[in-house]
Amino acid sequence: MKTQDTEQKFMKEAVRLAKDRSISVFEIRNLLDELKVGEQEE
Amino acid sequence: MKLKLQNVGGIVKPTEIILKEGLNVIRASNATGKTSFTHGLKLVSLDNQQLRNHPEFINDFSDKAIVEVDGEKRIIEKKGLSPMSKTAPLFRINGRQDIIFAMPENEFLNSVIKGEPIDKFLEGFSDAQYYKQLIEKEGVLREVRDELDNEYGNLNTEAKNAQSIRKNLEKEKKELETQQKKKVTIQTKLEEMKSKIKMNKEEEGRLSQLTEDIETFEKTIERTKGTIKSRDGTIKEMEVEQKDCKDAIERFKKEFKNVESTIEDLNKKIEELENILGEDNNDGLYKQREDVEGEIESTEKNVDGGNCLACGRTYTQAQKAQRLKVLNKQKDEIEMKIASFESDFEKYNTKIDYTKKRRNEDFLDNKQRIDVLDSDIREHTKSNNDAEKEIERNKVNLKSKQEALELVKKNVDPKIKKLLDDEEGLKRQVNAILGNISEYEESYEAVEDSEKEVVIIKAKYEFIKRVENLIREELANLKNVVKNDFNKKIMPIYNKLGFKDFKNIEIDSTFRIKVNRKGKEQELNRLSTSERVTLGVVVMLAGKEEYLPDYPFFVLDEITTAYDPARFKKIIEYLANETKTQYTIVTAFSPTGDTIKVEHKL
Repeated sequence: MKTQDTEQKFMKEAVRLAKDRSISVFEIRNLLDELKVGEQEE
Repeated sequence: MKLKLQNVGGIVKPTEIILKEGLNVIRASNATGKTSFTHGLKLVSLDNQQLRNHPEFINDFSDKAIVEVDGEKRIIEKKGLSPMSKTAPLFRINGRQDIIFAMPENEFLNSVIKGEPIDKFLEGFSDAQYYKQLIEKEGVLREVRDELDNEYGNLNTEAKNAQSIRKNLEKEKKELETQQKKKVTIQTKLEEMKSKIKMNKEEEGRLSQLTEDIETFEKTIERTKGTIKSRDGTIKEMEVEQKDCKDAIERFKKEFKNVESTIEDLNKKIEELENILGEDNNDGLYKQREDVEGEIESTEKNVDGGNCLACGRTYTQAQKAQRLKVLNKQKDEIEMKIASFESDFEKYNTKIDYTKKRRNEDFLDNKQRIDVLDSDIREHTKSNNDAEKEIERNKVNLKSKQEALELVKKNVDPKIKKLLDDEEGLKRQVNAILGNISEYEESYEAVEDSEKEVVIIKAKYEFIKRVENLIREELANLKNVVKNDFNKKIMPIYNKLGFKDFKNIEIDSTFRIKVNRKGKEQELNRLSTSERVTLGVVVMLAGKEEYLPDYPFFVLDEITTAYDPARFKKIIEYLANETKTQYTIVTAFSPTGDTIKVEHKL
């Protein structure tokens, strides 16, 4: 996993959602799954 | 500028106030008039989101306030949630009213004056507030981190379980090795003895056959016992899971009382929005936009040199410009409505997806899982019953073989008999260990996955923490950028005002105002009130110049200016001559008269 790229993508998306004031835990979890965080690490 | 207010705070009847460029002193006989006037200016400038926190701006006995600037109207309904009332501010202030209204209730000004940190206000000047929303106490990022932490805790217990089972497994295997070695030693000895003692061939054959049979039965019985024990464990786990599923369904039912009708309602709302926006709908907003755009285009194309090329009527350039202005304004209003409805549309769709996903995950999936578990439990129970029966059958077989062996042993040498007994004992131990191993192996399989899951959860948790730290860094950076922007402006403004008390004024690294008098740093509480109020307004001016240079108003409350009239005269002159601020407004108390009066000198 290219951590830095993933982090940047995640941040961008999370901030976009925060700006919309529509962000939820559910969406953040989805995002984590989509980015496959943890699954390719090691 | 002609400002008209109606139903704003205490101002009920339509009230017209003429503002001239430069200084405007608003005089009113009681606090309500002044306060209502500033409410009016805020109604002109704040967006709907911010106005929602200020119902007091609208008269208590009215549903809506009307503000008008040079004929441009804004209607703000108390029920600010009604989609039709989403009217845009006439002058955008972008949530930065703290640097416009110098009044006693301005918390930003108060914090500056008291020497308190002002970083929380500076956050509003950049994207920092969005970052902050994510990581603060009830922010979603924090919530996700806590959730992952919790999940990690649960899974970690299971993973630890897996580890201890694995350890036991290793131990049992080692024990098995030792026992097997012992068994081999005894067998070798046995062979030696047997070769010395004459034994009849037929007897020897029967003996080894029986020993072998007994071993097989014992092994089978122990293995079956291990399987039953492990299956019992699995059944218990499945029962726990089933209970969890049932609880989740209950929780879901509590949260979504009537999920189908919720979805139906949302669909209806979407349909309504589609209708409002609709392309096929003649009254739809898309169509309206298209019409206005068409009219703008044709006005631009057809009106030339004083005549309309399409109809031939006289049409001056001024009329054309006026017409285009009206049309563009109409277009802007339609665009704004479209944007707002489209964003609602998105929101409803997200909500439907979310509700459906929750319905599937929390309700349907769990229901299905309960059924699957039910049938699994039944199957496992049946298998265990069958296994018990099999053990019983094998025990009967074992007993008959053991009896037969005893008969044969009676006829052999006592020394060999002793060895045979030893060997048999050892074999029994080995089998018991084999049974244990199969039990451990099966229960290990059940928790093995959590070990893998723990790795993923831990990585996600670490990832979120890293992102949170990044956001914190970014937040600090953004605040510092804003701080530096303010600092860049403070001293130049202070010098332009001709004030000389301080050599330096700046927002320091703790986000407090720090002053330097004659080369010596001074605490803010050492300064006089009027010095501190002046400082506060200078900081506001610095912010305005950096972040709202074109905003037409700057408001000073009488209480603020009263501290040091001479200095404030300079500030007012500065605003008029050195900045793009068109209207400097000072509110003042008037002992007589019951209407608002505007004067143009102090």
